[in-house]
Amino acid sequence: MTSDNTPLHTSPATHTPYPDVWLTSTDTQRLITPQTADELSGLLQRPDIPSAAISLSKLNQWFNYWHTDHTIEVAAGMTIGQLQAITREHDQWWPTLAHPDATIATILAHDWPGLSAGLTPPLAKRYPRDLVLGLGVLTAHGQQTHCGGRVMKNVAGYDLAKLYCGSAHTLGIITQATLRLETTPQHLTGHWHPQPTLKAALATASQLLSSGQPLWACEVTQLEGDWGVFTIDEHSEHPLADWQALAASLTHHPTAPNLLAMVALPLTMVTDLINWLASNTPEAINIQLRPAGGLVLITHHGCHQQQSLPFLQQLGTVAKQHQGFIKHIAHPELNTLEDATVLALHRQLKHQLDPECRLVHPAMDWCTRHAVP
Amino acid sequence: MPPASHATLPSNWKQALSHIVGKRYVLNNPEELATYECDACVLVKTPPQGVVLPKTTAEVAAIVRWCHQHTVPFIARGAGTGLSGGAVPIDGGLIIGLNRMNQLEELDLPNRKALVGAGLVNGQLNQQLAGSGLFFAPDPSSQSASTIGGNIAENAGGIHCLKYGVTTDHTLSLEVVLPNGDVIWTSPTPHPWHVGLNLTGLLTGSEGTLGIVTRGWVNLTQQPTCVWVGLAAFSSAQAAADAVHAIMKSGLTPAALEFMDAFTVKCVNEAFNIGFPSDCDAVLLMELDASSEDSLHHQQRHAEAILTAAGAAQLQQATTEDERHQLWQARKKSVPSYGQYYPAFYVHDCVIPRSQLATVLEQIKSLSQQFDIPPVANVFHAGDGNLHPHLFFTPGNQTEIEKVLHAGHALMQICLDAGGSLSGEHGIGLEKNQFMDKQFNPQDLAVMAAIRQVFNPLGLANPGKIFPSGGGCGETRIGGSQHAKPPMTIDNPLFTQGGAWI
Repeated sequence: MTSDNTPLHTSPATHTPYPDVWLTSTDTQRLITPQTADELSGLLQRPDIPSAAISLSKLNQWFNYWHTDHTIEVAAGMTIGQLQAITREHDQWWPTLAHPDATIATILAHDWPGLSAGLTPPLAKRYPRDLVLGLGVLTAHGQQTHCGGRVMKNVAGYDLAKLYCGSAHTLGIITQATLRLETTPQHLTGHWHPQPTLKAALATASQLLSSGQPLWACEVTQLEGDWGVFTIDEHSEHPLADWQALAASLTHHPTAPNLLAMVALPLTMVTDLINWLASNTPEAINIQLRPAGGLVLITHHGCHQQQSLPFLQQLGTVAKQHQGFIKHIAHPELNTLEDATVLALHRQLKHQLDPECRLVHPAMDWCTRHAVP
Repeated sequence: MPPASHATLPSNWKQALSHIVGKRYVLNNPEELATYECDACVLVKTPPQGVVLPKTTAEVAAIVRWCHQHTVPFIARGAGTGLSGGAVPIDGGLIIGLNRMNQLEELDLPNRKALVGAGLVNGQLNQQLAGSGLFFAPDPSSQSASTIGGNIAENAGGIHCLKYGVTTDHTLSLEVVLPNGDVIWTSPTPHPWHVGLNLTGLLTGSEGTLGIVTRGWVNLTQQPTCVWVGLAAFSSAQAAADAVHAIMKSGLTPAALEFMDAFTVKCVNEAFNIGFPSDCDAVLLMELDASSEDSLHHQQRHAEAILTAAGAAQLQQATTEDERHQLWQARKKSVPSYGQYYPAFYVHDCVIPRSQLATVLEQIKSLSQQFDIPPVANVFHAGDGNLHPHLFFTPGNQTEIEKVLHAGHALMQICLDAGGSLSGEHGIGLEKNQFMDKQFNPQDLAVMAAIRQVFNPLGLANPGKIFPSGGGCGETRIGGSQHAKPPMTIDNPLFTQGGAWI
């Protein structure tokens, strides 16, 4: 690799192909750090990697909107907010409820669960990957490829969209996405249910979830220091003013600097973990619970990331004791795959699709970068 | 007629495998092997050289290690209900039948998940869940026989996947025997969120070409408390297609929305005396569900208004649980009811954008005249655009078979031209692998082949499936494989005399 670590930032306006980027990076022996405008700053904190950074920020147009089929094909640099503005014209939305400023590429690259993750109506899990019909992916060799399609069911060939989603662009850069839309529910409103304690909030959330009423969000969190449950539903009574802003703040951008980790665990273990968190969480750390999805988001307000390390390591152990796991976001190097065969498979996949290991991303570096020849 | 490239088994194979599973679970008599020469797609038949019936993952791993050591192809098989030839041992070798791995190993009702053996029959899981308020949502029409391992391998759908999703939406973590005999769990914990790459999603629907799924944690879904099933009759397929579009556009998400054409209705009525409207060109069957009667009634009124506005000539509804059951049984048995008129058919599984339904149905109708075949029958999952056109022929009549094959190829092209896909739930297998390069370009297929290379470098796991060339041994790009198979045509000696009776 070149000794010049100055990042080369490229922001192509078209996506087929990226010849300049590839030629430049090849000439200078640079790694390619695929990134969208919304996570650029985070990635450039890696001075050890001489990089050609590709921003997808100019790739934010839509190509086809088949609104009668509830399907849209967009460039992956489009933000969730831009997408929702386009689809709103036809009373449709992409129902993951992810951060409005995050790009589709970033949401898919991290398979970042929005507020609706785990809530059932109508599809099972509602992770972003579940609402993708097809992807356009730029390979490490600079070829534009496609997987999936634009239809609601598709079992032709391997489901590569599932593999690319969550791979942080390290197997290929997600440049286009064909997304499954739904009709926006009418009269959607947000509600805040204040609670005296975290435990009371959790109990209220459980009641709401078991009521059978469709919910598009059910978050246990704190507002100005007080615990409560935030819901999005179709109840029209006493809605929260400006609930959209609160919803946006609760979604969290997948590369937000205050994000530390996400814990995933069985639904029945949530209470136990919350009990542990209630007495072990340091002052400057916040927890936000998505009980329907068995997810606990760990963020900080003001503490240095290094200060949070002991807590996060301990939390990882506790999560495992509760049949769950922690996914480190601020410290991805702490993530582990204990099964050596699975780890080797990850590295072989990486090696097969990117033999020169040019697509690097801190989020997946730990498991894909050390490719097996 | 076995293909010339049949694998050669070591002379002591039966002894070696008997040592792993016991003598009675190793089959090699011709009459025993005949059962395994095809699945429910009998377009291609070729017997395996042996069948092994393991009981545990350790046994599967030992068998696969032995195959790896002796370069013997192996094909995992469940109930053999697959419709794309995915379980046909085209290169010979061993069938590894997973039917003995049929246990519901762990039921975690509070967390809505179950650990199941790959050989557990889909319907039996749901029988064991009866009364729990939960169910396993994927419901292929074969669910009374098909195994969950097979459902996972093909990413099976079903009538209710319109609302509840296909199999991949319900797999949490899979135990997989890799083609070298190593055993992994795709995710360390059965949770939809994941650390690392999503191998669960990749393995689901990979048709046994990346490894053998032996067990899996699957997601269970809350049973709806209130259900409504209705039927709407239309004077034309176009009107029914328009109604489908209107329903889906309205924001309603029916649990199921099925289309039956006039011929299908006639067959069902005659076979089961079900009393579907006979003076119509198309019928839509719709199921709505909700957690409360109020919500259900609201949906029902909305749906009835849409169907009426779309020109439904008749609206009927099931008033009892028995009637609902009878209606869905009639739908699920509509395919066998064709047997009253035609002894054999070739069923397709293309998916098209819903907006193209009316146009594509008209084009499919014209195939009858174009290829001089009987009228094509249509019964399909209208809500998600998953067509199942049935092309009829007489077994043994080579002229008819050839016409049906040509019509089938034209049909697939029509669907691809409409923006569709070759398969929505049956898989590619042997039946459609020669058409994959019409849906994907060489670069797209090369990526898939590269991934197969990681898992299955020797091409021993279910060779000859999915990819156009059927290639398996060491290739990372498409074309030129030593395992290349000719497309299924009348000239292909692999094509059976019996035709496609499914």
